[in-house]
Amino acid sequence: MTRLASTLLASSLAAGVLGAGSSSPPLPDHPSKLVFPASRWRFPTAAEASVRLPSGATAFVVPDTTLPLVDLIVVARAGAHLDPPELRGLAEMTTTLLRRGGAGARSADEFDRRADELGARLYSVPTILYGAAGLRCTSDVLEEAIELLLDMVERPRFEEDRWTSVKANAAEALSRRNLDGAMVLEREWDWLMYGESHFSTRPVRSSDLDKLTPEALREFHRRQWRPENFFIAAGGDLDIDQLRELVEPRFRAWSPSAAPPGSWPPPPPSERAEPGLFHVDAHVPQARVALGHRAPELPSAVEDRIELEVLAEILAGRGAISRLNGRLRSAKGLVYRVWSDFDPGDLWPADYQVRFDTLAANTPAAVEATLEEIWRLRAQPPHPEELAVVQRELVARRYQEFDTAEEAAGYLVEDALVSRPGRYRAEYRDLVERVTGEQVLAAARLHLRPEELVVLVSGPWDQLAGPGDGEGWTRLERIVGHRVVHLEERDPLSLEPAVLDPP
Amino acid sequence: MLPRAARFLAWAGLAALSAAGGDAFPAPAANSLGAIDFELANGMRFVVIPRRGMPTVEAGWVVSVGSADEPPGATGRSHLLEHMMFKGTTTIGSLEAERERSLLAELDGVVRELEAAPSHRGGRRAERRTAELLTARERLEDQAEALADLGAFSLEYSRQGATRINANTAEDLTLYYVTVPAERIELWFWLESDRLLDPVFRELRKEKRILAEERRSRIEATPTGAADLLTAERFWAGTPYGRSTLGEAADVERTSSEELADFFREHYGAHRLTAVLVGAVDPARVRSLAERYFSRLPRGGSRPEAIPAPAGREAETRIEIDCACPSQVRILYPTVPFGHPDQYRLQGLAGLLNGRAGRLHRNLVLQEGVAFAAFAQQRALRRAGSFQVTLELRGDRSLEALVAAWDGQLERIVNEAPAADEWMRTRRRLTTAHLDSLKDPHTLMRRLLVYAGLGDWRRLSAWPLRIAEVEPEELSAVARRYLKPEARLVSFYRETSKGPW
Repeated sequence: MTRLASTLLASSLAAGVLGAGSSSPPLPDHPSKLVFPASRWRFPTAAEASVRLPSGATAFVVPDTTLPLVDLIVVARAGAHLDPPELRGLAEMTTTLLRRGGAGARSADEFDRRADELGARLYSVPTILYGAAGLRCTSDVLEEAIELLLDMVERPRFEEDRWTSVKANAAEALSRRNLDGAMVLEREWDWLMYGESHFSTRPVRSSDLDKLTPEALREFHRRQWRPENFFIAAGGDLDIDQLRELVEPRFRAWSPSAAPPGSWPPPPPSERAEPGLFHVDAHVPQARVALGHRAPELPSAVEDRIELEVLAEILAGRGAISRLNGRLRSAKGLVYRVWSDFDPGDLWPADYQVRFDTLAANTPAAVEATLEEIWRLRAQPPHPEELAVVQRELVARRYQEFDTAEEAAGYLVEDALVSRPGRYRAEYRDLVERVTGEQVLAAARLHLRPEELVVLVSGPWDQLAGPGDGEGWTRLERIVGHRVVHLEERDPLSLEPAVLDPP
Repeated sequence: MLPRAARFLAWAGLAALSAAGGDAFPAPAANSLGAIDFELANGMRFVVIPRRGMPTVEAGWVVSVGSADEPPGATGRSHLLEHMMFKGTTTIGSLEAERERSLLAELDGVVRELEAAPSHRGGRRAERRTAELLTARERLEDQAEALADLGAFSLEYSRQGATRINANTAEDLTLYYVTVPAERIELWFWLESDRLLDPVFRELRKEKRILAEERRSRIEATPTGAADLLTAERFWAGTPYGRSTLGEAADVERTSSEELADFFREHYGAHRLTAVLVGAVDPARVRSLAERYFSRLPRGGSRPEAIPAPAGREAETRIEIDCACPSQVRILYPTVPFGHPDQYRLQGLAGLLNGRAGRLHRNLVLQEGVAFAAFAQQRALRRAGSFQVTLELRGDRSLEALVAAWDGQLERIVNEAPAADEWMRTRRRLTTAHLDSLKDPHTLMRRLLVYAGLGDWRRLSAWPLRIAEVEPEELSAVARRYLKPEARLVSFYRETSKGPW
C-alpha cells in the first residue's frame, strides 16, 4: 500500500496537477465538505398522467420524446384466481396464446410477419393476478402496431396448431422444474408460507394441460378480457390524447361475453405458515437459505408501509448500510450477497424473507448472525445517522422507477391495480424522511417475529449434517429451535411426492 | 412538434435519403445519441449524454483491462482488484491512516514470507516458523481491521443518496458505475478520482472468502455454470479467453496485496480510462469537474501485448458434458473481433435467425418441434469473436437431431441469400431493439462503457447505420466464411438423471 500510494501521489505532484490548476480553489480534502443544492425534482403523480376512458379502461401515459419509440401495455384482471377448479392453467395459457395464436384477420404466421415488417415487438405475459399484452415500436409505425395489439387483445384466434406447439413447450417446461435449485426453493417456500391449495401457489401439472382446449381459452378470453377490466401503461413518444384517439374507438365497439367478468379482489390464502426448520436436498456445494414468516397484517396506512420499508432496508436492503450485508459479508465474509423482500402485500398479508447463499458448512453461523440482527432491531432504535442514510437511499431508489417513461407509467398502473393511495409515490420523499427511530423500533416489534420464523435450507445434506464448524446440523436446530423436517422430492410433472428409484 | 414519422426520420438522419426515393428503411445518423466527448491531457476520455428531466446521473468509468490480460498463474487478478477497489482509500475507510498503513505493510511482509516458505519443505523448524507467521497474520489482520472503517467507500455514496454502486469484470475490461442524484454529481468526481489515485487494499483475505462464495454461486451452484466454463475452455483453447473471469481459485488465493498494487499500477493509467455520464448534467460543468479531479491521475504505461487468436481447427470438435440442466447443445464458430466490418454482418445474421419470426423459432420450434428454444449470438471481444448457436431440446428427440436441424438451416443460408423483404424486416426489428437499448439511461451508460472499453464508444451510436448498409448477400457470405463445419465446436449438455434434488 505504501509503495502504491506514494508512487501515485508523487507522480501527480511531479505533474503539478494536484489541486488542478493554479487559479482553481483547492479541492476539498473530504467529501463531507462538498456542498450540494437541494433536489428540485419531484415525483410524477398519477393524477397528472392518468385518464379514465369512456369505455371503462384506465390509462396512464408518461410522454418522453427523447427517442422515437413507444411502449404500451394493456393489463387485464384475468389471473389464475379465475381458473375453474377443473381447468388449472386456463388464465395463463389464454394470455400466452394471445400473441402466438393469430389475431383478427391474420393467421398466426401472418401476424408474426406483420409484426416483423413493422419492427414491432408484440408480446403477452401471464402473471398470477393479471394477463398483460404489450407492444414496443418506433413512432412512425405506431398506428399500425396498435392495430395489431388491439387485434391481439380483442380478436385472438387461438389457432389449433399454435396451441399444440405452446402446449408441448409448456409440458417441456414442467418437466424441467426440478433442474434449477433456485426454482425448487421458491416453490417450497411458497408452499410453506401459503399452503398448496391457494390459487397463487397451486401449480399447473401436466395432466391439467391435457384438459385445456382452444374453445375453453376462447371463452375465458371473451369473459375476462374487456375494456372495463383494462389498465393501460404507455410511455415514450405519444401523449394521452393520441392514446385516446388510437384505442378508444376499438374499445367502445367491443362486444365481450354477456357473462360478467370474474370478481375482484381474489380470495386470500386460508392456510397459515407453521414455524420450523426445513431442508430440501440439493447436490451443490452451496446452501441456499430462505428465512422469514408471513406479514402479520396489511398496512392500515401509507405511513405503516413506509416504516416497514425503512425497517427492511436497515436489516437487509440493497444499500451499503444494510446490517446483514455488513455482518454476513463485510465483517464475516460468509456470503457474496444477502437480500430481502419485505413487501407486506396489497391484497392479503404477504411474506417477509431474507435470502442468502453460503458454503453449506457456514449455514449455522450465517443463520445465527441473521437472528441476532433481527433481535437487535427489536431491542433498540437505529442510530440517527444509520436512519438518515437509509432514508436517503430509499428515496434515491424510488428515482430509479422513473428511469424510463414506460417504467414510470408501469408503476402508476401497479398502484392503481391494487388501489394503493396516490400519496404513496407522490409524497414518498416526505413520508420516508418523517420516519423516526422509535417508529422503526415499533415496526420491528410488530413485524419481526422470531417465534414465527420459517427457515428453509436447500443444500447437500452430507455437508450440512457434517462437522462443518463443529456441530453441523444440530447446531442449526438449536439456533432455530426446531427439529429439521426433510421435504420430499416431488415429481416434476405431477408435483406429487416422487417415487424414488431403489438404491 | 414534428409528426411522429418525421421525428423518426429526423432522428435517423435520413430524411434526405427517404425524400430522394432511396431505401424505404431509414438508418440513424452517426451520433444519434447526442453525446459530447472530450479527452484530458493525461489521456482519460469522457463521454457525456445530457438528459434533462431526470433526477439522477448514471456515472461510470471503464478501464481496458480484464481477465484476458492476466498472465498464467495470475488469473482472477482483474476481478479481485475490482472487489478491492471498494475497500476505500487513505482518506476514506481508515480511522487512523498512518498506523493502519504501517500494519498493512507489516502484514504484506508476513504474507510474502508465508508464500516463500511452505511448511512441508523445511522440517520442524520451518513448521514452527509457519505457525508463527500464521499467528502473526491473524494478529495483524485483527489490528488492521480495528483501524479500518469497513464499507466506508460505499457509505460515502449512500449518505448522499447514490444507488446501484457496483462493478463488473469481463475478459477485456472492467466497469465501475453508480447512480448519483443529479445535484450531487461532484461527489462522483471526488470519490472516483480518490480511489484511482490512492486505493488501499485492506481486508484482502476476507474478500477472497467472498470471492469463493461468488464462484460457488456463479459456477458450481448454477445449472449450466460448470458446463459453460468447460465449453469456453475447449473453444478458446490456447488463449486467455477460455477461462472464467473469476480466475483459478488457487491463483486468487495466493495473490498478495503487493501484486494487486502492481497490477493496478500497470493497467489503471488514465490513458486507459473512459468515463461515461448520462443524465441531468451540464457538459461544460462535467468538463470543468473532470479537469479539476481527474487531471490528477498519472497517464500510465503502455497497453498489454496482443493476445493470440484461437488456433484454427481442421476438424469439427465434439464434446459431451453431463449437466444438471435441460439437455441442450451449443455450437460455436470462431469469427471476428470488435470493430471488424464483418461484425455487423454476423450480427445481422443472428438477427435473421432470432425472434418469434426468425428462422430458428419458426423452423426448429414451430415447424419441426425439435427445440424448446433456439437462438444465435455474435459475440465480439477485443481480439477475437465467436458465433454461438444455442438449441434446447424438446421432448424425447436427440441432441444430434437438433444439430442436424441447425445444419439444415445453415445450409439454406449458405446456398441462398435471404430475400430482400425478409432482411428488411429483420433490420427493422434490430433497429427497434437497438433503440430500446438506448432508452434506459443506466443500460445506455453501461453499454457505452463496454463499447469504450472494447475500443470505440461511437460504434454504438453508429450501429444502426452499419446494419442498414448490410446487403442480404453478405449474410450468406459471412455464413460461408465463418460458419464452417470444420471450424466449429459442438458441445452437448446432457441432462443427468437428477437435478439438484
